[in-house]
Amino acid sequence: MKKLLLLGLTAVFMLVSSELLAQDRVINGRVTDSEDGTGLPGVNVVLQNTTNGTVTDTDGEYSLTVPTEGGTLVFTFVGMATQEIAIGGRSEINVSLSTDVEQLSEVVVTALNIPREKASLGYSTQKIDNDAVTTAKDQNFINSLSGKVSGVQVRTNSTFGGSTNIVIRGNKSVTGNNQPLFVVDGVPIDNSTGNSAQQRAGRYGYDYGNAASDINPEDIESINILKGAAASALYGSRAANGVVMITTKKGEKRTGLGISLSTGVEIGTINKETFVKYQDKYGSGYARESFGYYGPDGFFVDDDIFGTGQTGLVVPTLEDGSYGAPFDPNRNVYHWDSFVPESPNYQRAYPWTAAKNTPVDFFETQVTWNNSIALTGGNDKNTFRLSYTNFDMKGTLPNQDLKRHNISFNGSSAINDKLTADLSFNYVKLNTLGRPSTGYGDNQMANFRQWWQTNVDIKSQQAIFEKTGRNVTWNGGDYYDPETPIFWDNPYWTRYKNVQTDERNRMFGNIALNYKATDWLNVMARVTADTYTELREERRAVGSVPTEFGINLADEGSGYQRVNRDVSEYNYDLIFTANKQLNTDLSLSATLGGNIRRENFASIYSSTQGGLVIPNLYALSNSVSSVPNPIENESTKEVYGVFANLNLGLRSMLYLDLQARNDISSALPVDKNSYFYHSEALSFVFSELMDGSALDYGKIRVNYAEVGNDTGPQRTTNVYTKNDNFGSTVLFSYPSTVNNPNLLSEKLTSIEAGLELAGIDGRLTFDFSAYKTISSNQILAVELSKATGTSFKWLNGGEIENKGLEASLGFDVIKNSDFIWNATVNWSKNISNVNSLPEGIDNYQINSFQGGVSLNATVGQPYGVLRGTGYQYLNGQPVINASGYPVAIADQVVGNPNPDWNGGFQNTFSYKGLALGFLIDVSRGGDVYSLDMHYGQGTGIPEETAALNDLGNPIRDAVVLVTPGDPTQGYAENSGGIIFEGVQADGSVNTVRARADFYGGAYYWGNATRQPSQMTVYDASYVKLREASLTYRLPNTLFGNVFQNASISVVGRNLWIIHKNVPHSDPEAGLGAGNGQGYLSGTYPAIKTIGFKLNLGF
Amino acid sequence: MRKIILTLIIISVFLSCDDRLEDLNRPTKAAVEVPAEPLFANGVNEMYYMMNNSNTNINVFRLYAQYWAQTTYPDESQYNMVGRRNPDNFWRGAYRDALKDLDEARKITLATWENLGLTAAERDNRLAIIDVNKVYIFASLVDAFGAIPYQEALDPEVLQPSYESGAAVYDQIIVLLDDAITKMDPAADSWPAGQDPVYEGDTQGWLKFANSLKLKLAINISDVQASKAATMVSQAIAGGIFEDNADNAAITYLDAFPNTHPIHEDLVQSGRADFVVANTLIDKLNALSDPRIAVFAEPLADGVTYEGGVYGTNNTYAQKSHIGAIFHEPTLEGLILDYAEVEFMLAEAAEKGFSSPMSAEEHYDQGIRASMEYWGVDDADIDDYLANPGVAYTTAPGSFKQKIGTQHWIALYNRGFEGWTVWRRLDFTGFNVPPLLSYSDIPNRFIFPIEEATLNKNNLTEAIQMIGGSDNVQTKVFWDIN
Repeated sequence: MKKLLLLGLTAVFMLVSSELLAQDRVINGRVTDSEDGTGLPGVNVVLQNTTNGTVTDTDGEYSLTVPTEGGTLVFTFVGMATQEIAIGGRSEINVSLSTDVEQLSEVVVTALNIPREKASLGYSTQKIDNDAVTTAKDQNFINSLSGKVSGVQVRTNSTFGGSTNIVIRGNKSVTGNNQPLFVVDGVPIDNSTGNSAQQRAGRYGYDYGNAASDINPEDIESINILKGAAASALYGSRAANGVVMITTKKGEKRTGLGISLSTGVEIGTINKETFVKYQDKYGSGYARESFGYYGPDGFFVDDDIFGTGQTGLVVPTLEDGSYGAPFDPNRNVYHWDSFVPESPNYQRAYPWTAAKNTPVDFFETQVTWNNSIALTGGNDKNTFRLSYTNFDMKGTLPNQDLKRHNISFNGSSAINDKLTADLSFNYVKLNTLGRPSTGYGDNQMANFRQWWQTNVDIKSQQAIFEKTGRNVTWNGGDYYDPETPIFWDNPYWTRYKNVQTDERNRMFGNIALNYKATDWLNVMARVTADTYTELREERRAVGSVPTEFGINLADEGSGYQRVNRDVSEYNYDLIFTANKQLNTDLSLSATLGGNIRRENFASIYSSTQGGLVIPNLYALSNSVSSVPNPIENESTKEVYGVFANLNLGLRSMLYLDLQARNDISSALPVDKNSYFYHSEALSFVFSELMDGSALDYGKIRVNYAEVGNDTGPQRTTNVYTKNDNFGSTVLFSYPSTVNNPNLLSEKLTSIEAGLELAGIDGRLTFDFSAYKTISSNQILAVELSKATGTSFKWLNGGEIENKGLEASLGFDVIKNSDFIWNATVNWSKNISNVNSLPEGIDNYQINSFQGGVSLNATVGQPYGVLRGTGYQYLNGQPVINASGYPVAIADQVVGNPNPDWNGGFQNTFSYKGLALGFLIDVSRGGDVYSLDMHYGQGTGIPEETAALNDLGNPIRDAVVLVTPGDPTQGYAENSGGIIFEGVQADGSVNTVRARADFYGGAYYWGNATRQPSQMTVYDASYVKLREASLTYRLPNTLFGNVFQNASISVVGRNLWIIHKNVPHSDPEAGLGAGNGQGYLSGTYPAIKTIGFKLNLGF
Repeated sequence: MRKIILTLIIISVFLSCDDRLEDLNRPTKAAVEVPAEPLFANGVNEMYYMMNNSNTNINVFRLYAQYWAQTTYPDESQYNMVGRRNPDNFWRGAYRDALKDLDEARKITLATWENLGLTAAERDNRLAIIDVNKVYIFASLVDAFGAIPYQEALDPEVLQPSYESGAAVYDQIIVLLDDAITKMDPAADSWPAGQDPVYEGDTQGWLKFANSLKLKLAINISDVQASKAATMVSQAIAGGIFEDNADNAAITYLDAFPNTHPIHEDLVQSGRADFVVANTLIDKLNALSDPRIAVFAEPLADGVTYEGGVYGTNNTYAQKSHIGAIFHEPTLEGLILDYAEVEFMLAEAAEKGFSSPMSAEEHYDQGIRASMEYWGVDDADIDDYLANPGVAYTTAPGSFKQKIGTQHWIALYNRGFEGWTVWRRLDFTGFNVPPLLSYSDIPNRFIFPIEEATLNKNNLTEAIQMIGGSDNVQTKVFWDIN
């Protein structure tokens, strides 16, 4: 069928081309920017006093058929001075346009890679250039967008190789993908993480990163962000969340071969403000002396351990918390290593003190190398660019390495005057070793932050692992069985033995034929492909703590699991574009096209079960029990779209833009699989009416758009689940998610208005937008009461509203020939509201997390609110119970992870060859729930759990009343305990001292009746020095003009968190990209990097 | 013109590819249609899992019955149901994992029996067996929660099923059970042996289970509906109930995960040391010199002393009696109803004045004997035990509820849910109270699933009214009036 369609399209293509041949003579040429010599796309080229005209292509080239005799060409372009050139006898006219200070505009790449003059657009786009992603570079280029584009919220994840959440103008889908579409030179790029459901819910798993992070920042020429539905409507429904359009560097006409080299090294260290500050006053144990369940003081086991007839005190190694005995250097006790024959402390009791080396010393220095070479060349007919980049990052945890190779080729060839062929090809190979687990299960950060003994010296754990090669852990089952790990492995064992690896091989690119049928009509046929295969392997070595692992997520002491993923997407486009100056007043540009998209996905997930037979052999066949049924997925989706766009311009002043598209998707039920949508936009360059004012450029724009959407494949037919056999008994079960043959397409409507201004000789630019979107008729897997016999059912229904404001302001504060100070501010605010959910449901649980909290779409609330037990309030104050603890009430909204606003403040100072830049990134408001603090305080790890109270006494001291048994007489001067802020049930200010001397006491008790989850909900605001760079551009003469350009930079990223409210963590940390934001569990500390970069161009 | 041609071509392509699009969207790696047998087997398997596992997220009843105590994290022993959402997980196991598969097996059986060449009797046997299992699960849900969705349950078209009172559900499942018993024909085949993990297709076995289950429901309601209970007891006995341990409703687990006994994962495979035997049980067994102590628990390092972990607090694993060796075996039998239980219920029936084949004392003795035989105690020790004045029915202290309750509870070791239910029904004394709690904090029921508050709010509100207005653990289920 696809072939048939292609054939059909080709036929039309031929038909069109043969019809449009006869004219008089053809003038070719190239229009360049006088400032830097680059081609200027989108320039109007018109034969004076006629309607005969064309527009330059992306390289600034044009060709126009004119009568044999005479004539003058007029070159006009917003922001540039108009030029008129008599043709005479020439067949090639190259023109160099210079900036007209009275006009200012730019060309932007819009949907489907169509370059357009920004003035003619009735919607918001924002462009950033390659410096933004290459100077202070991050492994994942998406992180480099943070703070640089208004309306774009980026949540940088500090997990090694982890994924970054990026949302443009708010979350529009309750359960679907809310990340924007990534497009590289017209090729839609898969950006899925493929992270497991467990991982996303904060349980066992690894964050495998965004697939779009395969894009090499060094190859990026510019990035254009299409924010609203009107901007992206031609891409269809999949672009409802906005589009990140990436244009890569191309070759250009030049003499000789251009070579550019770049090399950089960055050194990263953890930001200690984002890691636990350990208390150093109490050690291992949960002992609560009133229970007195062992030893003379309830803290240590007292036993005849070595059979000598002498009893001795033993640290409770089994207990992974620090509510134990106060440290006392004069007290000798047996520690975990007193039972290890290889240890120098074997059979030796030694002083009870805080560890000299805390887990802070577990982190190593991150070293990142980045080397890149690019060759460019070109003549009149052909241009190319070939580049290779090698990226290598060794992370902050032992045994971590991420290597990426990018090979990229871009070529363009003019086959004849009318036909141009473009080829773009990218190959990416990614190899990762030692990604860290995330969330709660088997994650070392959960270990260090939530379940740790402050008496354990991390370096002695390292020493014993290196000496024995065994899993000798601080957390042995008990003294009689010290080498059976109970909850946590030796951290070095985890890093060196339980090794994760993955490999991705990816190719993406496109082949396009451009045919200039006439000087005003262009036909493009293009095939794009993005395809990759991936292998993800996870291992647990024999001798590890049994933990959730493998297909059945059973407690497995060892095992091997692998996931093979094959992802591909192909697009076949045929697009007609017409650009015509209809008369002196009226210009027209139009697009008509068709698209076939085919998405294939296949994966196989397989694991061992019951452990590994032969240690260190990681193969499915090495399974103790029979290998469980693998989980196979295979799906295909095809979408057929036809679209049209018409843009009419009146006197370069008033533009009307109309778009329409119809899609037919295989994912929807056959009788309801076609959906139509459209957008209308108006732009008015009012500055054209004003003369001589300080305003160089002024435009207002408004638009309205409606976009339809389909859903994922295979949601219309119910299937049963095949379980592992019970012996020879075959087992099937009813599905836990019920499909629905009656799904309808989703709908998104949006309105947007904006204002663009430029003034003071182009020194000041301002862009403002206001928008509102409503996403309705959503397709979601609604969670049901399990009494229905299932967990989820795909249904239509529900509406989310997002409205917001965006502003960006650029100002050259100082601008003279030597010195420029440019300051840019980006600011955005988005307010979301869940207007409705499918009938009868007022809450939709997006994720359920450990700690009794969940992330929800609740009717009448912003998207993604945190629910859990909350404070009971009386007169606005939390109610404190008679024992002094906050009262908990079930199922409250306890937080909203959406920030109030985001902003970026960027400054660049340049003086001759020297440039200094820095970016301050601000996020205001928004909440996070911290399981790290919930458990960490509960187990007495961070410093505040061993602080002094208002009386100056340790809070862990006993609560002492002046008169025993009579609280009315107040507390003794030496009383411990803490007073929680709030009121007693009768409304009086709380003065009851709560005990804080035992595990689970003051901070954590499982949230049922006291200590609500709300206690560890924090404001996630931050102010960060995100980037800073100092670049020196070496004078070309320095090396005798060998280099056309050479620069050296010192760069830094995430150098300083100027302000935050979340204790011991980075407020941005989380589980990775996706809808489950605002939950901190086992989060990794933020990494500060500082580096050097050298660029050389020959 | 060209545009029109293009549009026409594209449209015509679209029109021709409807079938293709439908095929594209058809699942290729999962079954769209399945036979009934594997759904039946799965439902039964899940029912046994639900009642037998010891996962602290799901089944905490070995703790609530105070058979086991916890070591490091005693939250569940202190009746924290919220942290791990135990009510949600138990409820989900019952409705989604067990009941729905049985229900689906029923529908498919009705739709396919003729094509399979089954006789009407075989079909009826299959349906009746499904119904008996459903009755068991619905009764357990009522016993746990008090009120539950019944008529509107198990239908994903009804997004928010309404609840019915426990008494109303019991009334209906008793009718369903009677109907199933009537329809069962022991002479005819039922499920294929290989797809029936309990009785291997033996209809007679299922019929005895059905009657024994009827006895259980009767005894449960005996305090609130005495005359109905009396009739049901007589009918059940006449219909044929368990007569020895060979009749037990039991499943034989296998050597390798995931087919091992569910507690194998928590006691062995997890490598953890979460549980010890509770002092509540050990103290009682010690006091009675009960020989089952050597089966139920391991002695301390000295090889002779048994010391239980203090119920409801932290315990040092090394210094308390561990769970007995047999419970660490992967092939440990899983039970949901057994002969000893039947005998103790008959003893209770006799005391309550219902018809019973023998006297209360004889059934009591027979219950103890059945339990001890099951756990491998030899006859001489059983006789000695029955002669122990603390055990002998005539001399043991307390009312019949205390005597029968205590021995029934001991016999139900490893049957946490029923152990807790017997404590609720007979109110025998001896349970310990965790620190900082009072006796009334020992649950009389599970609170409703926490997620019902968001997924099924209006119906939940009505359900809370049905049970008396308070969704807390003090509220008693309808049959628990003493």
